[in-house]
Amino acid sequence: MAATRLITIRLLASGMWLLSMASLVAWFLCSQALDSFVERCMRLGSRLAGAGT
Amino acid sequence: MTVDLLSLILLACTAGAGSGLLSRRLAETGGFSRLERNLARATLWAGWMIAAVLLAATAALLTGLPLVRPVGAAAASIIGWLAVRIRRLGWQGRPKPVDISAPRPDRSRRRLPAAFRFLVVGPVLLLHVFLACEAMTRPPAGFDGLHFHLPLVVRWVRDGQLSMVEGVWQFSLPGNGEVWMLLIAWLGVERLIELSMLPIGGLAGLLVFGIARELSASRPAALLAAVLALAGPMTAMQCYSSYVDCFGAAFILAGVYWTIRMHRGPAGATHMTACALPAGTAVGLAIGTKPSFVLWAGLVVVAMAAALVGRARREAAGGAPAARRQMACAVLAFTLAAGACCFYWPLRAAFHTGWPLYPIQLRVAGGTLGSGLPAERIVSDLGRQGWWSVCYPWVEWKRAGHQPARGEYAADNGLGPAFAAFAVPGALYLLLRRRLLRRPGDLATDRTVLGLMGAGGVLFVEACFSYGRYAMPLWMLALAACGPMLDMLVRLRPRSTLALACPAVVLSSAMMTLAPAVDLAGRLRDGDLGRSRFYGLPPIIERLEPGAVVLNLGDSTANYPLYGQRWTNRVIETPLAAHLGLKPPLTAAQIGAHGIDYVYIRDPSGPPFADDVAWEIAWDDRQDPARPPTTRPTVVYRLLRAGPGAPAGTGGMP
Repeated sequence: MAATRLITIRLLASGMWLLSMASLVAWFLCSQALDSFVERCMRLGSRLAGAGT
Repeated sequence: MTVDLLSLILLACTAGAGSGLLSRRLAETGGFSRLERNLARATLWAGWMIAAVLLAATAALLTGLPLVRPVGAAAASIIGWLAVRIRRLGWQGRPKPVDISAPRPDRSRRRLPAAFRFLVVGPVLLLHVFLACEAMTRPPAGFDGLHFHLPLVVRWVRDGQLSMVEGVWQFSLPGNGEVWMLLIAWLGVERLIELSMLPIGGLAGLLVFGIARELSASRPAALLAAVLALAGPMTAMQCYSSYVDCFGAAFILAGVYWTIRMHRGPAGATHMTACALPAGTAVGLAIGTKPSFVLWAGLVVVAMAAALVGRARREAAGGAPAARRQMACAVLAFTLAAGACCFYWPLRAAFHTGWPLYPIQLRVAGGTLGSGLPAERIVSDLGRQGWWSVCYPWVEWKRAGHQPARGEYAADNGLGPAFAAFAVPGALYLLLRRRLLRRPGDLATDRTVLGLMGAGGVLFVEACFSYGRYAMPLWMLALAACGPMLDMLVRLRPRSTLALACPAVVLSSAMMTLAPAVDLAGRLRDGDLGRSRFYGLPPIIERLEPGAVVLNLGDSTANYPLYGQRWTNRVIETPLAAHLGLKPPLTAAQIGAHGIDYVYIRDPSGPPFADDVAWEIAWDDRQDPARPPTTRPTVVYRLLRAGPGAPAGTGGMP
């Protein structure tokens, strides 16, 4: 009984972690906020590089 | 200024002493832990401060005198403190020690692992330090704040009354959040106003921690949930803005906390009143913040009623005497506390318009009730979002923001990756854990939180137009509900959980800081931290003669900046101008009737005056090569007082 419970807890923990991971990956893939952030970082980087040269 | 400062200190001290007395008494009768006592004290302190101002404002409303100075509020606070003090003298000794027989959260002092402290808590701490420093280098910002929250605060400071403007809904709404800002605004230092929301953000974080603990999460997991909540862009940025959503949401969360706290407590039912008093204070503060919080407060009241009834039934079944009387006491305490923190707003509305809910109009059976404004007028700029709203925040669509072209997060938008990663699995775990694990924990607490989240989801889609900002209580509650799942993950999979939480929090913090950091770097590079540059305003606005009346025909975001740093200008803001019918071409009669001295306008296509008006140009940067290309051309017209033979249109246009 205790072993079954332990396995259940571990399975649940793994499942919840996988679900959280999937949620985060979904956000990476779908979020427009991330796109615009990356775009802005690249623009800033090129501006700084231009100022450096 | 000295008198104001002293009376503000007096107000804060008496409110602190009074709330301290009350919270100690509540802790004794309710069997509160240190966290609970501190949460009660913080809520009661905020409620006391607001209630003191509202009491002074009521005197001002009824007498017509400008009594709402810090002096008046301090006097009201002292009266309240004396009342509590006298009441305390009447208590016969300390109450009996309580028997804490109900299940309590895990009391272990286990700390969050060091890696989490450095890689998750550290970035969020740095983020808040940066945002606080950045907020002090600039004047207040944020669309709604500049549009109407801050102009309202300036009007109140100047009028000495919490006045309203009939016909302009922005200046007629309840304003506990603005009263909170008013407490700092009385000091006259505009760069401190936005920092007034920082303690409210801290309280919200503490409440997320407390709710997670009530859901039987360990201390480290509850701390992690609170950190994730404070790493959310909307929450973090509202701690340093003049928006009031975080203010209302924090107190809705406080109402939820005290509601679920009511399920757990010592036998004898005396703690019901101890929980009901801070709950009522919190709900009253939230109701008085803005009308959308009335709906959220309604949910809390329903949950509170269910908790009270359930508790009273259990007490009665257990043979506890006077359970009914205790329940009546709790209801009375809740109602009185809630009323004290929001009674002024319906009173003011009824006093001026005869309809206590003004500017809200009720529609019943096809007819309208009351003299409020049509709902379409109030929410005209809110369009219902589409199906994607239920996918928020995974799409982070940004269409709700006012600057869709700029991708950064803002105070009115964004939940961020940390929420996306943990909120839904956390709710799912809360739903499943009892069935799968037969875990101990209070079933009623789980049900209350899940029920509130479900009902909050319906409110978000149906009543909040799916705008994330209006559903802040739901987002914070969802992160608090992650606590039990985080507890399991931190215990069983610490490294892989860190691998999830760290990038989510770091990315969220980086996305929040990028735009303010770039703006700040630009201002530092130019060596100009002044408000004219920040707002893109003509410098002459700061140099107008005191009392000059400026009509804003430009952007709504110029409403507050046009007051000037020392608030010496008088401004006819865009909503008021629209209500008064002040639009081009302005006639001499209109200008004379409102005493307009200057007209501020952006992108002018010509002078906005009729032929009978004499004017000259006070500022025109259309041809100025020094004007930044991102700033739209601005013209300020000075009106020439009509005298005998004064020529009309003397300025002419180039």
